[in-house]
Amino acid sequence: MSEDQEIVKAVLARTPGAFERLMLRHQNLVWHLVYRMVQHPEDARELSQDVFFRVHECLHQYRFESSLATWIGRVAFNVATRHLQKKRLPMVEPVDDDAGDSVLEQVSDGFDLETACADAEVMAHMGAAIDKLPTLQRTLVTLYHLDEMGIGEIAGITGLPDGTVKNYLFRARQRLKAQLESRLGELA
Amino acid sequence: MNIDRHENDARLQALAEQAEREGRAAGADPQLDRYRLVARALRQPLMHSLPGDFTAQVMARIGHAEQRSGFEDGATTVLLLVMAVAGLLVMQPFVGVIVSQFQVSMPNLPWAQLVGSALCIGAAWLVDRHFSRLRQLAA
Repeated sequence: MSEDQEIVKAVLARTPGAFERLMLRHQNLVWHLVYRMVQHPEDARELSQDVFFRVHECLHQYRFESSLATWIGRVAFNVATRHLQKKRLPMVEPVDDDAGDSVLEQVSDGFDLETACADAEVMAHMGAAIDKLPTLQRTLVTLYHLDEMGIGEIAGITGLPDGTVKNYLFRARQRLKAQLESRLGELA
Repeated sequence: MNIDRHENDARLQALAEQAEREGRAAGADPQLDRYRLVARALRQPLMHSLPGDFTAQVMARIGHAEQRSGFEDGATTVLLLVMAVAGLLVMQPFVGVIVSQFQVSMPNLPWAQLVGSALCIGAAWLVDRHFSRLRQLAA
């Protein structure tokens, strides 16, 4: 029996501590996803509770067609999406084909990865740039880089085709690199 | 954006991901290193985190909801029973007349004892169900 099956069976059998174990295993994924989507700590905490409440209510409907993480991620994605829809906040912004272009791209001399990573200002600037990405791009890069999920799993969570996920990831990284370059240009 | 640039960026992103995974030394290509920095920034932990008692908060909410749902189930059952009894009382004069018109020959059995036994078994089953539910809630 897989780990997912074992924990789901335990929760459905109301084994003491089973649901707490499930939460501990998946709470980082839920938090990362919800927080990065709504960008409001208080709302994100409440919505994360809603996610696990729903998971507890609907776990009997889980059919092991995907991993439990993907299923829970999908619940979290839907809860956060509904919240954004209620607040009339857009998930996707108009495509900007020049997002990756930077006139400062050629300011490459002297760039040192380790120095830049150790530079708190540069990293803070990058953090702010991630926060400014369109919601869907921000969500996808979080799932891919922070939660280390595969393209297929992310597609399962968001309901997007694999190619679209890859395209959004590509554009998001390109946009962040352009932001980095403009920052380096300012510092130069 | 031209295709060459698109392809070059896609290649650099893939190489950056690989270089980060393998922990390769930086400095070979500044463009590649910038994508590596982007990848590192994306792996930074979030500024806020869940409260330490998050699990306890969710469990308390679930417990509260289950208790409320247990009370609502009980109230619904009682309401349905009251409605059924009231319905029978209202219908009794008409039903009595209709039933008295039927000519039914019942076998000669100890009906009072049989009905009494059935009621006892039903009551025992309901009590058992009630206590099982209480035990589940306590767990």
